[in-house]
Amino acid sequence: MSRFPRAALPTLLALALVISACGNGDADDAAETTAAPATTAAPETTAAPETTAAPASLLGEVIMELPTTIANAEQAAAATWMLWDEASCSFVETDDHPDFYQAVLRKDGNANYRFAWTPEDNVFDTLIVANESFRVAAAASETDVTEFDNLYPSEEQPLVVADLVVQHDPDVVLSMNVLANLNPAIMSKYKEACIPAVAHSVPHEGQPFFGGGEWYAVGRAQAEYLIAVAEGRGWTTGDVDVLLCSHSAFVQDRTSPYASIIGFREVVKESFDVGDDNIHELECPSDIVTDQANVADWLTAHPDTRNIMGFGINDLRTLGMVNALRESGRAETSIAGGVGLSQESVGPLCASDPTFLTSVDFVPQLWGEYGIAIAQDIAEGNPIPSEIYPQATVVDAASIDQAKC
Amino acid sequence: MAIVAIGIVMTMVSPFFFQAGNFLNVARAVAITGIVAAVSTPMLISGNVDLSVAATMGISGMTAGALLVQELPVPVAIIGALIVGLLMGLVNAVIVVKFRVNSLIATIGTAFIARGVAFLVNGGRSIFIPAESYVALGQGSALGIPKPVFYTVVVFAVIGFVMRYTKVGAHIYAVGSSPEAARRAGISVPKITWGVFLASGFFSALAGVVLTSQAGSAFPYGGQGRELEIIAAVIVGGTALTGGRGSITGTILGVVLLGIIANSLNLMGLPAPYQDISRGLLLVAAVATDQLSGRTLGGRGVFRGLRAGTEEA
Amino acid sequence: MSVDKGRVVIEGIGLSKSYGPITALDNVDIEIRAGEITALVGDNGAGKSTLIKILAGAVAPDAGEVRVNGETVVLRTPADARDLGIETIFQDLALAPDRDVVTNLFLGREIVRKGLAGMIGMLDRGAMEAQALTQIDALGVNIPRSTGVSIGEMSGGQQQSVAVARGAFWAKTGMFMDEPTAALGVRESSRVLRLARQIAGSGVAVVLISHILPHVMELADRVVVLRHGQKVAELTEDISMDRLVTLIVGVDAHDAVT
Ligand SMILES: Nc1ncnc2c1ncn2[C@@H]1O[C@H](COP(=O)(O)OP(=O)(O)OP(=O)(O)O)[C@@H](O)[C@H]1O
Ligand SMILES: [Mg+2]
Repeated sequence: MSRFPRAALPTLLALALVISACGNGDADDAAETTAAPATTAAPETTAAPETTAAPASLLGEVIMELPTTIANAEQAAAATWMLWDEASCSFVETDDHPDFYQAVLRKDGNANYRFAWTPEDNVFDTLIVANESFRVAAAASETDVTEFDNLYPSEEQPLVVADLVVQHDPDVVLSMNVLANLNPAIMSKYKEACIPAVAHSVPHEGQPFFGGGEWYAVGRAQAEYLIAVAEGRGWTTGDVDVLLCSHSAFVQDRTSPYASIIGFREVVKESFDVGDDNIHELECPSDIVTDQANVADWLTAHPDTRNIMGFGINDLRTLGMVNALRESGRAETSIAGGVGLSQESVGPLCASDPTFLTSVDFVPQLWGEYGIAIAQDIAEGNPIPSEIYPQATVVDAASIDQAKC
Repeated sequence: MAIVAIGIVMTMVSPFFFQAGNFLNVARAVAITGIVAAVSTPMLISGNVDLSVAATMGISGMTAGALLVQELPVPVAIIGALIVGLLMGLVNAVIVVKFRVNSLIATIGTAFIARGVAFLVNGGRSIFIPAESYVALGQGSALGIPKPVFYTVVVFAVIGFVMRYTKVGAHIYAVGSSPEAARRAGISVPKITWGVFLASGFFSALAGVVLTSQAGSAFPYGGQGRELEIIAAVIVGGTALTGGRGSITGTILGVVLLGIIANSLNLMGLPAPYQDISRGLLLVAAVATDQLSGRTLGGRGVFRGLRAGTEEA
Repeated sequence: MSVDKGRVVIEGIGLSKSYGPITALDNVDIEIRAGEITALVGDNGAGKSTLIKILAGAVAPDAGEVRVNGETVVLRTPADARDLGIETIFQDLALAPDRDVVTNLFLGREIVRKGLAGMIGMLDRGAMEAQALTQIDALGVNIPRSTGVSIGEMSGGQQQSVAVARGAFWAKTGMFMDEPTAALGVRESSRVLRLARQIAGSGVAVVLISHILPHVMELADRVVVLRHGQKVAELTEDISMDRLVTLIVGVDAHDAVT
């Protein structure tokens, strides 16, 4: 019997190998089937930008044009633009920029660029999709992209990864590190090694920022959508309560998903005149059923509430909220929106749920395409805006891609 | 006692507390935790602990979701989820019984594995459940009572009966109280260990089914973080982490007490951190009074009312 | 008292057991007789507990065999021995401290109800309580009558009494007691020893391990002395303190062997 623990080790290792083999298998399958997911981006502008592809480029043909939130001259003028200066090993600001910015993914051609992508991890829903998108985009553009996993929430791994990236010496690194306190150390390593770095998730002074979703804008867009519905139903400010399903684990600032709550709150106050007393922020720890319980308790404590406008920091929380509203018999007097266009909103939207009306697609399935295209611009010495967000789209029952249903 | 006290205070603080509708809120909120707390009681009494219960909820829920998406019949999806739960129990039992790994460590390990596999089921994405008849099992009410509550009551009744009135229950207590004494009395400690782990896997999977049907969605991190809440409820209910002592009645009180506290704080509009603080204070107070007065006063401390349930033979 | 008094009921033949380099028991023969108290004495580590554990099925011997009522038996677990009516009160009691007297008395041998309820393992608590009380009264032991008090809350002597009462309740062939008075005061010791006598009186073969030689001399019908795993003497008469001490510690060993 005393020998059993030793026997356990190889068994467990074998098990782990089997599991990881299965995992890889799945990923490969997915890679083949999710190529070319361009349909969701819904670009306003489709014209190819005249100035981005410099004539001397060794890059090959254009594969995909990806709209960003800098979609017109006004937005372009308001933005700060920068380009990589090899001599000073830093990004320098420039006024010489195109009329709008869209990321254009091109074939690597003869450029032989090497890029690095350091995702937060490989388990979070959105990142699984995003990492996959990097693989798909790398394959499609025949670009050498290496992924280094930051193994969130490890406090050491991001620094280890930074050293590895320096060793690897790519032309551009897309650094996704969500632990804000580590960012300065990581960025200085890249600066020392003279590798242009794009900050993802947590901005860093002097570096271009590629935000996955512009949370603040997402929250505002959802508020505008729901206000339009409310007005269509003849609701007035006086009989509406706003329920926000958030979570105390989020940092309450503009760079975290919490910014969507900030944006939503601002718009309902500005455009629909809802007072702070009628905006209620509830704790939703994101377990759907617990979220539901917390919202149910709130509804019990506020029996006089007439109409409810709900917004969850992501679809999961919105679904919990909607479940509570339905179970308390308020399905017809409530409207709600979510974020992420994950399965929790796709289902209700496809089924034309009377309460769960909208979500936002911030296209993690295209982050790889965006990321590589941005890296190509930097490597080519093209100017880029200092903050780049994919153009997120508000989706509802009418506009949802039926293929998702 | 503690429950009555909180009830009185809450009735004074919030006019909404003492209402039938609110009690249904509490019942619905604790239903899923309750199922797992019920089966965690014999687990702790047997001297083991299963920290993979929450991950089992996740992986079994994902299994049900994946089967439903394949348009398999609802009973097949449920049976599939329960089988996955039994498999979790089986793996845990093998590690604990055959490889003699401490159950805490073993189940932390399998929890990681199961959570990882749950993420792989649908590439980390959740699964919106298309089958209305499945969702109808967990959503809505029957006879005015939220449906999940019925399953919880049945689970408590079954496990309570086994623990109190049957030979198996007596053996579980004996094994937890002194494995050596039980072994020498001819009780098969491995069999009991197998039993509690299989039961734990099974009922955690059932909780996963109820969770996903109530939520209408299967998500890979379903149940995440609940394991500590569940163990807290069981321990507040008077079950000893060291095994041998405890009761289902106590666990019911523990679950309801934690549920009422969360509900009360929600009704008062107090933010989440206060909920965590009060939950933690309650747990520490319950165990501390047990330590201070438990041995000398025959297991009766400040939480006398709670602990009354544990005095059963 | 019993018709069978003096008949050999349990035999160990050529029993040996080693733990790595340590020879705990070395080719020991022993006969245990119904209605008698056989005392097993020896210094610490002499192999007394090992011998009893082998006869009780708790330890498998490396060599030798065990016979019960003349038949060779293989005792794989204590349960095998118990099925043959052999009970053991181990040095560490083997009680479940969180459970009450009734539960402990029937530990592993619970009475279930008749019919369907029994098939699902439903306990007959009433029957167990009644029988337990009868047994406690018959033995005249001082343990709380109320049910629901866990063993762990009782005194060492009371716990010992519960263990003895349980052994006595189930022992039909033999009862082994490994230092039953080690943790007890004078009064409680004598009470437990009286119980041993009582049990032997009912025709059960009792084996008593004790370091307290006055007890041994007072109670035992027969004394077996072990030293370094070997049986060095078996005495039935002329049991004097000096003789025993000499045998146990091995001074003048050659003269001592009978
Ligand atoms: N499980 C075991 N593993 C290793 N050695 C053991 C084991 N059990 C007993 N021994 C050794 O075997 C020898 C005999 O031990 P045993 O317990 O039979 O002695 P004893 O006569 O009962 O002593 P005591 O009077 O101290 O109880 C000792 O040297 C002891 O250390
Ligand atoms: Mg001994």
